Amino acid sequence: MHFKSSNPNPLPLKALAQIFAMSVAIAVHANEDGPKTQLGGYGELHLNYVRPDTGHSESPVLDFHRFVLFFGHSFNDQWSLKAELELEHNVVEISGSQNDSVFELKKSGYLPLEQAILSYKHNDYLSVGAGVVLVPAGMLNTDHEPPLFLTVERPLYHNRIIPTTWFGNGIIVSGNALEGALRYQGVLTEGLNSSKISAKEGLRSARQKGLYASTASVLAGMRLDYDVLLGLTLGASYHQDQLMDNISGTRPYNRISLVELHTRYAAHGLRFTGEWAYVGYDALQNTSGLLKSGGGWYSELGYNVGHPLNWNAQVIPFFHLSQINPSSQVHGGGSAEQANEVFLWKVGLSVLPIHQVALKADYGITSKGDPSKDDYEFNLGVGYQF
Amino acid sequence: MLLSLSHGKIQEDALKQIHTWFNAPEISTQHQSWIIPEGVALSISKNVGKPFVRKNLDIWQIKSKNNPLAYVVMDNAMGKVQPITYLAAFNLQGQITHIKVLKYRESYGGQIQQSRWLKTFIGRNSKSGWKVGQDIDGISGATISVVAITHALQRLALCTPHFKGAFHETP
Repeated sequence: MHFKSSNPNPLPLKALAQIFAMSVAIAVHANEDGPKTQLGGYGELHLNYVRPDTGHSESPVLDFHRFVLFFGHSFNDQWSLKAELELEHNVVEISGSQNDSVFELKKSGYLPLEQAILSYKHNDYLSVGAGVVLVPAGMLNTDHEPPLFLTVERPLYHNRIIPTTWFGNGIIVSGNALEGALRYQGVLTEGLNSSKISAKEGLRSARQKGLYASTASVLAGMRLDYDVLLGLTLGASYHQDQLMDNISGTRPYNRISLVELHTRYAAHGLRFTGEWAYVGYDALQNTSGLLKSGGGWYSELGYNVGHPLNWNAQVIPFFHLSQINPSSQVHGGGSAEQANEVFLWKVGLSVLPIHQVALKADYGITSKGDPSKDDYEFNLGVGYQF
Repeated sequence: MLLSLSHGKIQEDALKQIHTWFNAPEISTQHQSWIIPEGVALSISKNVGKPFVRKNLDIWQIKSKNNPLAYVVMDNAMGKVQPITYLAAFNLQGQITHIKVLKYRESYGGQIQQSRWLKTFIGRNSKSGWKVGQDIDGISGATISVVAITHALQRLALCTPHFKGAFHETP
């Protein structure tokens, strides 16, 4: 029998070999200037012990608070992607019924896509990005890897005043001037769901996190940072959440504005961070209990004792001081204006054997006015970034 | 290739910068894309703790009236997502005399382009201290880029005796 080839012109082996050789050459050439996809991440394991004001203490809790995978892809000199997927508290379990207690729901973890920005860089002065963007408010919302702050847990200020990590769907414009000494960002994103603003936690629960985000309100913001000296950065931002329509009729606020100042000094072994913010609320009605304003500040001072001794490791004892009140002015006034005021201090030690690893311990007291109601806490942590 | 340093505008930018650093009329330059010998790359990477980003270095030998005066190297350091292209000049003793970031491609940050920071590298050679935070000032919010540039320059400083030889062989 004679088989007739179904393909009268089969690709000769030689041509295949050539194509293979070419593709290898292309791959090598593409790789010439380093990998095009970058993998990174950070994470932190905590041990938290809190003796609350009730005096009833529980066993310390072990919590792998965050495990974050970062990946960046460089398409070419102009186009790039930056994304972060985060798993908080080890496990995300979706189970049970609506009758589950709040306690059980709280034990479930959290799996957000914290950022995914496709960026186009026109030049140093102008880049435009779209996707899941980080709201550029405060020192830690955009950069919050464990070696960047000294306490085991992120400052309470970054929970109740600036709801770190604050992210949403939208667009971002950024750039720098004066050889990078002046940096700016502007954002336009989904707004806050103001029906979820609380007197105790401020904007925290109002973040939509990009989950089928409603545009009933939009958030616009801008930020400036300037390096006054080498090691000394001053920055400020202004964000405004504006109600566009209230079809559902559930939104209690027309406008929310956040103004915030931040500074960091890091040189000669010294590390100082200070932040201050004011949040103003413009309620649609003078309903008692609705917020008028809130705010707070913290400062953190540490000194690397390894610096004068020329150690490889950084060993930084530190002191952290903060005052926070997310609802300092409330419609109707009265004791509600002091109910969520918190004053806290922490002392601790942060050790960085290498730049990307932090071992931390701290002890602190949170007071709410009445000394008999103080919370005591002790925390240990290990964290990394790469 | 889009990210390649071997041709196009980035080479023009590099040459322009070189001529502002070395601008006497008797100056001549000779360019070479020098492949880092594998053994050299390996031992230097081990020494510094981080490998070279590229397999070759773009090097210009600067001559004054036919006598070697300096070597200028263009290379990449790896930022968080995008490579950072910089230019560094070394004198015949292997000390850094000039440094400039030619292209910062990331959309955020950019603090490391400041000449007041880059100045801290001038005068350093292979035997200098290269510890970030100790010998080299850090920049808050730019740790990754600061460490990347510092490692890259330390690797180049250790490389100087090797690429100097490459130019002697090809007159």
